[in-house]
Amino acid sequence: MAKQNISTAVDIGGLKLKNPVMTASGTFGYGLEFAEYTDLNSLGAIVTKGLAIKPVKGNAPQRLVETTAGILNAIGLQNIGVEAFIRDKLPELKKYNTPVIANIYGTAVDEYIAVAERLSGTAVAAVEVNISCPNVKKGGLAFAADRTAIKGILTGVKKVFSKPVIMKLSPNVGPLEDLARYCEDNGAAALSLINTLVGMAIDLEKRRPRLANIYGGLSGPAIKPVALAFVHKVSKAVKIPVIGIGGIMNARDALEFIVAGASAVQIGTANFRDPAAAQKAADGIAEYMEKNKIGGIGEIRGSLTC
Amino acid sequence: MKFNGKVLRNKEIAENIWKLDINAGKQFKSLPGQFINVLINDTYEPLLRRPFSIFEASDKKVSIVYKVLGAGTKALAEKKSGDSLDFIGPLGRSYLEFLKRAKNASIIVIGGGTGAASVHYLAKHLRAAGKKFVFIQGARSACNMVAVPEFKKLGCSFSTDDGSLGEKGFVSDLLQKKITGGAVIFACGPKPMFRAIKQACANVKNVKIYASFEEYMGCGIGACLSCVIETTDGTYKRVCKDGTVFDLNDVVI
Repeated sequence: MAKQNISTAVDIGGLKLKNPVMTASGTFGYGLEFAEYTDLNSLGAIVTKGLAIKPVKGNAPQRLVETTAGILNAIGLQNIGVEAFIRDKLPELKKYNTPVIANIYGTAVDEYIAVAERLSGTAVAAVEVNISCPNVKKGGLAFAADRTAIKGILTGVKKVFSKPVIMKLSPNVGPLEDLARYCEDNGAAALSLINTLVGMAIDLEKRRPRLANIYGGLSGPAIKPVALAFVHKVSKAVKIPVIGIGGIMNARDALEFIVAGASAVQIGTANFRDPAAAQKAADGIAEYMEKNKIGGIGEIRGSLTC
Repeated sequence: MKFNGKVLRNKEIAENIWKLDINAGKQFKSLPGQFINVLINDTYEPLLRRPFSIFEASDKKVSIVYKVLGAGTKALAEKKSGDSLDFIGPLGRSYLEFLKRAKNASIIVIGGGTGAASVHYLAKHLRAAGKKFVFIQGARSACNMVAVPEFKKLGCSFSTDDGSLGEKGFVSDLLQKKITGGAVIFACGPKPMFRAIKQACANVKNVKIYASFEEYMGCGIGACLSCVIETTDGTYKRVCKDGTVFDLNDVVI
């Protein structure tokens, strides 16, 4: 929301956003599900559910369970596939004045490239490459620290897709600074972090895991301190923009990530609790800037004093 | 639509089963089988909204009936008259979409456990529309039976596992005595009940069964893909958005 004297605009590797608040992949469907509850025009960007080259059925239920101040999910990347997305969702999404970032996913390097190639020349403004989903057997987390695969995906995707390529990183593979620099060196326009943390929940009476997949990805307020530490460390290690993700529920949480070094943020689990959470966070950031006479996001980004 | 409602009344009506009346603050238009997704409180415990079938609704008032099971419903039971309550709704598809296809068929409405809430709303609607229907409600025991006086008013027959109210046995036993060819059944309850109903109708001709399902929901608006149910074509469908009511022939139970 642009107000007098302040600008919430940010530039993410060439992608210009009116404000730094995006929606996290997998928590905002294809965007349109939320149109009844929030003004999609108020968002910095919409990041779609992970798209594969063909429709994906997803994991058996139970797929999600609430844990203390968080949720654990193992949806298994159920999606309609890139063709149906371009045919059925993108024409509707184009009506809004908000860039659409397609989260893409494959079970092999070639599949990532094929999805990106299909999205080339469409209204999609950028792709976010999911090499960090903990809930699928092939691809996803298997690629999270595999440099050969990462290089193959990045260079291959960049060849067929000329707009910004964002890499989404996993917190499940140890420190990310080196990997982040590797992505930067191989042409990533920006980095999104963190994806969910591998976790599990147990039904004591049945002595069974609550999720059919046994393990799932933990998100929500419970992971915010972990995410802040990752964002702080990685943003100091690279020059490309870092998009902070992890338990952001409101404007204050978002601003903490920006102060830690993030150029933009993604709102995830909060969308389930309040479908207008991302819009409220964007509005709240503008209010905070106005109140504190902050002219632009750059003035506070990475301003943490340690 | 999102509502900033107020609690009118929140009362235990059977063992561990509560009825909550909410003033939605503005006109609340809904249909039988639909649900609301309630934000229990403003802390992160519980974090997610909790979905509840609509027991009845008119003008600005909406009522739900819930069983206190976990942290969410426990916190909900602590709500007092006058407390504010944020909820989203009405959500999901109604039984009435399927009723249109039924035309002149004889109608049977079956509720089991707390699944009684949504069939209560349906039965009330059918009564108001002057339609004839058979109404059956089942529970483990009389003390688990939801809103008995309201159901009696709607001509409901009861069955309990222990025989403490109505006939001893399952709703499917009672159903077997009342089922006729060409009937349309609307049901809400646990999956084993749906299986029993299906079995009870196996040798009766042209019976259609439409059931309202319950699965663990994340968002309630079709985005998170948590509450899915497997369909006979091998795909998963969302209970919150593609249901909660499904043709029993289309889903795997």
